[in-house]
Amino acid sequence: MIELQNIKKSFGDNEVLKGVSLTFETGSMNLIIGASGSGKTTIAKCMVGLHSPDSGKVLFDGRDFHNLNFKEQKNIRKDIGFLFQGSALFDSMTVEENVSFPLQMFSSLSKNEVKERAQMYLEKVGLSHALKLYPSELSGGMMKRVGIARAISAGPKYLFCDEPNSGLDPQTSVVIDELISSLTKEFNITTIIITHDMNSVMSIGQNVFFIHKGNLLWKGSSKEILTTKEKELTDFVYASSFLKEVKNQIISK
Amino acid sequence: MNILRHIGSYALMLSKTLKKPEKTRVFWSRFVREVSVMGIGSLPLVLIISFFIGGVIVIQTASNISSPFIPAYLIGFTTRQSMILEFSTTVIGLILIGKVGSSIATELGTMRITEQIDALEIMGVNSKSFLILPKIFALVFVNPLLTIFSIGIGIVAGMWVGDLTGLCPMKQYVLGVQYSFKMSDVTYSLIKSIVFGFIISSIPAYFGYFVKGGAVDVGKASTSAVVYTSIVLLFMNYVITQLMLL
Repeated sequence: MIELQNIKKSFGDNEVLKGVSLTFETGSMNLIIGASGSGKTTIAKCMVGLHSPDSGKVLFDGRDFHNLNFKEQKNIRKDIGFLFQGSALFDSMTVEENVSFPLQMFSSLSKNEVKERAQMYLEKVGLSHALKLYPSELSGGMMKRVGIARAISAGPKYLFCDEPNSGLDPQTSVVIDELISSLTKEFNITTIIITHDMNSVMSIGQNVFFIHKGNLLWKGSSKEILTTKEKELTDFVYASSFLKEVKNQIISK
Repeated sequence: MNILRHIGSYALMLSKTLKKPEKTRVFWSRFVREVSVMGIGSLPLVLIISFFIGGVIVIQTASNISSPFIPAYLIGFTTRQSMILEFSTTVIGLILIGKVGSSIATELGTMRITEQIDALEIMGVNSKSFLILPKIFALVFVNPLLTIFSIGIGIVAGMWVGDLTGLCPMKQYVLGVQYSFKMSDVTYSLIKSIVFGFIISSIPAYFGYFVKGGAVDVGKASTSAVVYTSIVLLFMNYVITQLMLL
């Protein structure tokens, strides 16, 4: 379980997080949604230690991450998989080497076992044919899938995905969402997805957290979003005139 | 004040970089890769430059000797001393800053802005040690070898040029190369090349690693890396020379 207690974070005069408290249960699928600049990515970066919060606590199974020493933080980090918005694959390595990397660094597996594991995860994301390709030779969707394979290859307890669908076409987005969802269930991972893609929210949003101007404004399930009266959230969800029209048609029926 | 902040950050970076690698096998494979990229990759350029420098020294020295009382073998002596004491270390060092240093700053800067360094940090990898240490080790190891090659090719080129142009007969040139040879000069040159190897790898790594922003900032970091590394290299050249030759 991951717990955030009253997290505050500022960059200069800009107060990005104004005291956010969230709880993510073990094995759950969680989506943090909100407009650009609302503080979603900062929350994720505070959780994984890329930013230190100005105040508040990030607890991983009760352990306060930012008050641990380097070695203890490292042990928690080994349990974290992170899918970056731009995939952040290592350009100097092939697809297979990218996925093998966490295993190579932190497991005691032999070279062949590492290779087999990497191939197994690449098969899970449907890229067993791309082992020897370099990131520059991949499409956006393929890069995301390699990023997912790398994130889960060391068997993490927690999976963070920052805008997993950004820059992808709707069909590929659905594939990525389904992949993350199935892997979460298969490996009982606590997954936290940062997104503003409403398709993802409606299809895989078990627990949804709406962040607005650095505050947690609403939490609930994807079904509850449709009936919420929270103005900022409805403005966010029905931002496009097309969706507004659909909503009005449903109400009028 | 800004320069003090940079020196402090650079020292802190080095304190994290110069740590025992997490996986020795991974470290050595990266070391070999860096030796190949930075060392073998720079060899043709070093050899070409050293060849022409050796030839030019012979022509310039010969054209400045007008007195019949100065023996021709001094051309060989001057070429050897110039190559060993300054050209093969400092000039080649400055050229390597442009080739290797800017490439290190650009590589690490790109890794920073594309979140590859963040990815390493999240995994629990000491990214400074993982990325920078193999580069420092590789250049400290390979730079003295490049210096030796440079000295060798410069002296041989000088001999060919002297003989072909008739400015210095081969026998006289070889006599000059052997004349008053001191091993301490080679030691001085190799010590400089080791220090320069460290400077050429670590300072650009600092500029690349701490890039903030986008592609334009990576370009600026690369330029700053070349400028500051050159200044530090020339300063250290002066310090080592004063310490070892005076």
